Amino acid sequence: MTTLYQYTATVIEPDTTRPSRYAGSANTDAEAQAELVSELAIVRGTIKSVSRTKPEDITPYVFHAQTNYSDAVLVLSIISGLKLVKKTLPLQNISTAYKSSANPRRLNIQNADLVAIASAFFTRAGVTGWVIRSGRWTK
Amino acid sequence: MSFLIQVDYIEAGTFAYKTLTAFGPTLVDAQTLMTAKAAATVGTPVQAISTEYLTGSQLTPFVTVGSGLWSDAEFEFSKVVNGELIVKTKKLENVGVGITDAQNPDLIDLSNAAVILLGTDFRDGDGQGGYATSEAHWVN
Repeated sequence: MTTLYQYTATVIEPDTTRPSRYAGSANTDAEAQAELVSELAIVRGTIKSVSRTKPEDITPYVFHAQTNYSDAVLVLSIISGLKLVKKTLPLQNISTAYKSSANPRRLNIQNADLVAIASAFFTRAGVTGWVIRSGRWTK
Repeated sequence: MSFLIQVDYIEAGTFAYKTLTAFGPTLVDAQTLMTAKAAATVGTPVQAISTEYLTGSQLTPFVTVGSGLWSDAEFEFSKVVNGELIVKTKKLENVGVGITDAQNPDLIDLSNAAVILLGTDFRDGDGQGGYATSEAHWVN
């Protein structure tokens, strides 16, 4: 049986500030949490972060039907104040159907699938509103 | 709070396992990005997981013991299945030395309630429990 529920904690060691990781993995959410809780109950330190991993339904995620694929990067941009901020987003194994008809080394950045990726993109800081500036194949 | 979704998939042609990731401030945001990324990716999805980074009151159950000395320790958990002894080991860093065995300072007190609970809550690589702490010692 596959173990999919996992709790992971990063704990800062007293004095040295060195991080250590602790984890509990089990077939149920409650058992995975209990394993980590009992570990931390005998550990010295300060908890820096805790994360919970659990199964997701794969059914909603429909992959591209084409068989040809390659790696690419999208360059996204956003206007922040008077500054143009750019961000590079690598994409692996995407369909070659997104090739630009005008330039085969570039992607068709008007394609709705690619526009949807940019629209749904968030940075770690939660910044949204990105648009595609350019796209190219990397191999 | 933030969410990370990972979908493991098999790359078309090579049959190599790859992982597609999507990040968002809410689970729905991460799912929306994953849906968009998957639609552009060629392959066969085999497993999906989401990771939530806990904050605030969600952290309440996770506490470490307060002050004092600490060291690294190795624990042995065992159980008998169909007459066969199954033994698993786990190393934990920075364990409080308050659980040292009174008779042997190299060992850990197996009658300590927290040490007993550690074995009870232990799950092996298959996610199975039913173990008891059968041996524990300090490793440095």
